[in-house]
Amino acid sequence: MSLEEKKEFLAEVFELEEEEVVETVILNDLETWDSVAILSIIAFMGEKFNKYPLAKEISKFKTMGEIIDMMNESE
Amino acid sequence: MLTKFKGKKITGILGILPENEYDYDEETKEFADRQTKRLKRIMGYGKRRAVKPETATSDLCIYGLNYILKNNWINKEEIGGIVVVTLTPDYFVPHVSNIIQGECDLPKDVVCMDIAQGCSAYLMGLMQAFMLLEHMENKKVLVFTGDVLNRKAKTDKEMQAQFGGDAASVTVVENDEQAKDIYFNMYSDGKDRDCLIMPAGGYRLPRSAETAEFKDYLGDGILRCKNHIWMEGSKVFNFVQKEVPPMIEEILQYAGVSANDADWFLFHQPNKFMMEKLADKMQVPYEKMPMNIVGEFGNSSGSTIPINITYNVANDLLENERVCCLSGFGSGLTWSSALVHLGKLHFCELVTSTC
Repeated sequence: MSLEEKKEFLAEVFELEEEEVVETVILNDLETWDSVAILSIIAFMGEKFNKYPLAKEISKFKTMGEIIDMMNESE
Repeated sequence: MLTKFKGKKITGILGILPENEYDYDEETKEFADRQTKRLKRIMGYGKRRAVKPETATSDLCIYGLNYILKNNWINKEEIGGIVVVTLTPDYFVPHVSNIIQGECDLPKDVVCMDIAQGCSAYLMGLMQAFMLLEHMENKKVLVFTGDVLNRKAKTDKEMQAQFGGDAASVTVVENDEQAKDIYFNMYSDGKDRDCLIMPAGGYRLPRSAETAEFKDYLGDGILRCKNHIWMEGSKVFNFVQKEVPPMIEEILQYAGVSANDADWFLFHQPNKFMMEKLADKMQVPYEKMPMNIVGEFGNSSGSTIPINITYNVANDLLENERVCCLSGFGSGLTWSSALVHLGKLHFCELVTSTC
């Protein structure tokens, strides 16, 4: 899966423009870094990569880059 | 377990709702933030029903059975057994089935049985009823589901899950040599049992003033009380996405039908998000899998499948026979499904009780 596709998904989840989805974004600065975002990411991981992370693992992430890294490592 | 039941037929289904209704926007208005609205949109939250503070499970069940008897859909002498599946019995002793038997004045030779089970309640109850019918000849077995996890006074501001609902159901099953086979499978995984748990209230930890206190037990900033059900949501979500699609594939294959041949996928109703992801993974069109129950009445644990059937497909099943795939999944963990030709029912109705 291309980086663009991942960013497209994350833009939708966080209700951002695609160009706003960059690795350095601090998740705690986003109003949409919530349980809906975490559940959507978990569902995406299962759907696209057959991986099943838990909410408590994802909620530890500090930056957008960590989410993208998790996706990259799952391919 | 993977098996088929021969010569068994579901002939009537009644769903029973409490009359008190709550609205998501109203319940969340004092703390609503962006997440609240996002949750509503993806989870499909809306209205829910919860019983009054004095209502117990047997009240909903008795209301339902009296409604059936009053309509002469069955008579008492035809009943050979009643199976009650609930998480919220009136007492540890005596059992809800015996309370129903006594209150409805059923004959003494009726087999009365309670089973404790969560969101797989309906399938577990049907399985038990089909087995009992082997020994019932002309008598019928009634399967009750019912839970009152959300009961409260309308004025009570106690925080509750905004998707939780209360409901009950009664299903009549009987022997019929002409009936098509019912295909059935059921799985359990007790190793992951802790991801759906009500910590207090049993003999391991009786309820007390201490268990009623709300605290951040899990260090995630969420206040919980040991008298309520704790759910590790992401673990449950992952369990459903991993285990349910292969189970459905197995039951369809065993029955020799394709997903296209099935007319309805009548599943337990945790929330719209989980249902959509399940449908996507199984490549089932959304219009064959109703997902609206959580937003209309709330997630009523063991009763969601019969509430789903009586709300969404009652007219279809009164007039026609349809190939239906039923599935429940939840505490235990337990997950189960059935492929059944459902239709030409004697009755299929959703009623609102005074409970």
